[in-house]
Order: sequence, then C-alpha cells, then structure tokens
Amino acid sequence: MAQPSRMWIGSRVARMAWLPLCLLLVACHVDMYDQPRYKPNQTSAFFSDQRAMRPPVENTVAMGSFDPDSPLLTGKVNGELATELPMELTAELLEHGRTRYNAYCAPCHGLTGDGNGVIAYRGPLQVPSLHQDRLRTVAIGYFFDVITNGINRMYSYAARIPPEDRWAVAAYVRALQLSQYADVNDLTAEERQQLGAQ
Amino acid sequence: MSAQIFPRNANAIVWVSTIGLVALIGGIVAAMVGLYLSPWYTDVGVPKAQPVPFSHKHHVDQLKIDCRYCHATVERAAHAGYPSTDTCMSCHSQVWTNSPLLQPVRDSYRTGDPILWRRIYDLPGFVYFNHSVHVAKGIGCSSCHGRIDQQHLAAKAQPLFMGWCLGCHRNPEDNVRPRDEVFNMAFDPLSLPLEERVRLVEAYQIPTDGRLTNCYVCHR
Amino acid sequence: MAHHGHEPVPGAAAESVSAGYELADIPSLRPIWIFVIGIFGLLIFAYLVGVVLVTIPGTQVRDTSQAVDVNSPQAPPGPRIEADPNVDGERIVREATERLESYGWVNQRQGIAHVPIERAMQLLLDQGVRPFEE
Repeated sequence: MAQPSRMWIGSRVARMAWLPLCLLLVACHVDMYDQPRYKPNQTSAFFSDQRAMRPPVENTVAMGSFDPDSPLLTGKVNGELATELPMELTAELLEHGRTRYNAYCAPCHGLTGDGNGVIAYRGPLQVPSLHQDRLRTVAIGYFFDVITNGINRMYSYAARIPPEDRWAVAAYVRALQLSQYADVNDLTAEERQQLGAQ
Repeated sequence: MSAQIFPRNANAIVWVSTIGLVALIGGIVAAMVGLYLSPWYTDVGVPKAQPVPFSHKHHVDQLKIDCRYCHATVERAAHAGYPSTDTCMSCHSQVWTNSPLLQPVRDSYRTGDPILWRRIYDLPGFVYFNHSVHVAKGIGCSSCHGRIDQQHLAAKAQPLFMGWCLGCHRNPEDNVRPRDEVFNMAFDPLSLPLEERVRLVEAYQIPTDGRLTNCYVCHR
Repeated sequence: MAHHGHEPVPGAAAESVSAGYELADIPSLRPIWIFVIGIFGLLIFAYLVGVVLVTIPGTQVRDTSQAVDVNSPQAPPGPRIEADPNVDGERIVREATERLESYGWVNQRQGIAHVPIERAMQLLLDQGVRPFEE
C-alpha cells in the first residue's frame, strides 16, 4: 500500500523538476534599484547643464533667508554692525561655535586664531591674526559679516555655515580673543599664582 | 544469451558524470556567490577615475581639514553634500593656482558648469538613508566609509549589503562613539569598554527595542 | 530481444558474456595506485628541485636598488620641501592645542595673560561679546 503512494509522490516531485529553471527568468531588471527619480548631485540627461539639482531662478531667495531688517541675517542693526548677539550667549552656543570654527576657520586662521593654520603654513598664505587691536575692538557683527560675505581673499562661507552657526562662530572668536588677551584682574587668585610661577 | 547492452566502462562513466555534475553545479553556485561578494561586483576597494584626482589622504590626513569643510550638510541633511566648485576654489584660488590637475575646477568656476564627479556609494532607489541622524547619534564617518583619510583616491569601504546595515541596527553599541569623535577618522569605537558604549546608546536615545530593524526604517 | 547496436566488445571475458553483463569492473587497482603515488612523487620531486635551485649559491635574487656606484657622477637629490607632510600638520595642531590649554603671560607689565579656552569661554559668558575696551 505504501509503495505505490510513495512512488506517486516521487513522480510528482520529479515532474516539478523544471521549476528551478524559472529562476533564470528573474533578477534581470533593476527598475527598483534605479528608479525614475533624481538623487542629490545626480547627473541629468534632460537638462543641458547636466545638473539634476536645479539652480534657483536668478534673483530668487529661499523662504526666510532674506530680510534686510533682521540682525540675525545681516549682522547689522539700523545699518550699523551689531555689537550684541541676536540670541542669548550660552555655553552651548560657544561650544557649538567651537566645532564650527575648528572645521571651517582653523585650516587658515589656526586653532588659536593666530593665522597659522595648516593651510596658511602650507600655502603659504598671509592670514591676519584675530589677536590684533583692530579686531579686538570691532563689533561682533563684523565677524558675522565677514563669514557671510567674505573679505579680501577669503571667500563667503554663507553657503556652508547657516546664519545661527555664523553667530556661534563669531561668539567663539571673541572667546578665542579673550583667551589670548585676558585681564589678570579677572582671574582667580589661584590662576594668578599659576601665572606668577612662570 | 542476450547481447551486451552496456560497454565495459559504463559504471565508471556513471560515477564520473554523477560526481562531475554535482561538482559542476556546486562550482557554479560557489563561483556565483564568490563573484557576488567580490570587489568585481561590490566595487569595494576599487577607486574610480575622477575628473580631478582628489586625494582624501592629502586633504584630511596631511592638511587636517575637517570632513565638514567640504561635506557641509552632513549634520543637517540626508545627503552629506558634494562640495561645490566654490568650496574647492575657496582654497585653490590661493594655492596651486596653476596646477594642471586643477584645470577642470577652474574651468567649472569660470563657466559655471558642474564638475561631473563619479558617485562612489550608490544606494538603491528603494533604500532611504540619512547622514544627519547617524552623525547625531554618534556613528562616525569611518564606521561606514573606512579609513578614507588614508586613501588617495576614494573607494567604497563597504559593499552596503542589507545584512551589514542590520548588524549595526541590531547592535548599535558595537559602533557608537562619543559625538566629539564622530569626525575623528582614527577613533576606534571598540577602544571604549562595552558599558561605556551601552551608556552612549542610552544617552543618545538610540532605540534598542527592535524598532531600528523594522522594514520601513530604511524602505519607505 | 532485439539488438540495440551494442555488440559485445571484443575481448570481453567469457564469464561476462555468459552472464550477459560485465562482471569485471577494474582489472586491478595497481594502475590507480601507481598514478596516485606518481602524482605525490612528482610534487615532492618538484619541491626538492625548487629547494635545490634556491639554495645553490649565486642564484639568490639580490636587492640592488640601494646599490650605489661610487664611480659614476651623481646628481644631487631634488629639493625636499617636506620630507613628511604629516609632521608639519601634526606639529601645528599640537602647538595650537597646547596654547589653548595653558596659562601664560602675553604682556606681564600690562597684566595681560593667555588662559585656556575653556576658561575664556567662562569669562566671556560673564562679560559678553561687546568689543574689548581700548
């Protein structure tokens, strides 16, 4: 009784042996892999300049990125360089500014702001020190303005550093200046003792 | 007496052809798997020719330039961002201004036509990936991109198989590092003790309840 | 039974012919053993030949890239601006980091010092970002 039924199953299985051949029909399409849409920075055969990321039409600005009266976006109050931050000065802001400064500014200006960054050394480039009287006595908005618009041979960093971060960098530049120009009277007795030992 | 049906070597032929068939099928499968895993298919470690032979080793390792100087949107957007020609020129308007290697950069700056870099990591269209969340949760550049600061020409460091993605999504504590060290290429997360990494996973609120392995996390 | 074209191979053993199928499989295992032993023998022989070739004096490959012919005129080495570019970068970063982590005088007479950046950030939180007094 068992013998014929086992043979019957065996022959059924054998008759299905062609099924693995179906595998030859699959895995030939990459439609899901390369979907008909653009990724960032992709090239395009459609546009003549080959850019899939379209440059904005001339004289357009992004929403919220333009306001001539905003100190946050211009660094100026009533046409004069701002002497205060448009946000609260906090330890987090300074710490954030420190990471931005070290990433974007330090290659030329140096980690200390003395103008002896690795690129300045290798260039070699003459990079002004941030520890000069002119820059110590300038309004904080000046640093924002330079980062935004560039100055002399320095390009604008507006495309890479958002306005809030630019203010953080400006505040950190002040901290750098203070670190190299601290009044002894502001220091604790312990610190003065440490200085006196030198 | 009936005639001889099979030749004398019939047994040998049966064995040789049976073993040969098994070996052939096994060999074909092994070769296909091998090809699938090999750099021939995955491009791992195979640098691509670029319009400008940009060296990460020179710029990152020797000149100490931060990743974010060029890949500026890596902390804010899904895409790390290829540097614009303007970014290249913010230095190369001053240094190496006559180098013939940089002619495509200067041409691009003058004409406004983009430099057509060739993509190294090409994710499938059905995979969603966001750089900013990985950076914010303490996953370092080198965890996926390898020691790109030691490569002259950029090449893939990972084949980007799904199992590899899931390995980290299942055990984020194997790859998490302090946020300060994300852009430090030389940092090894495993140099921290396990308890410290588990603490970081908790502090950065990386979900460990299995949510990270849901299909829709990446396929959305 | 009809013939299918398979005639008995000449030389088939009489027992096989009478049985109707081939009885003998392999006449003897000897040729196979000779073959296997021969293969290994050949391997060992090739290895020994390789060893002999390598150990014969005068056949070693020598690194001559550093050999200098003192009699030929030598051009002076090219200018080496940087022997190791990493060194300068690391030195600059290290010196700047040390400066940002230490106390020291900038101008002792005027009472101006440099302080660690962490301390300067604290001080700045107290005094604000207004321009320094002249």
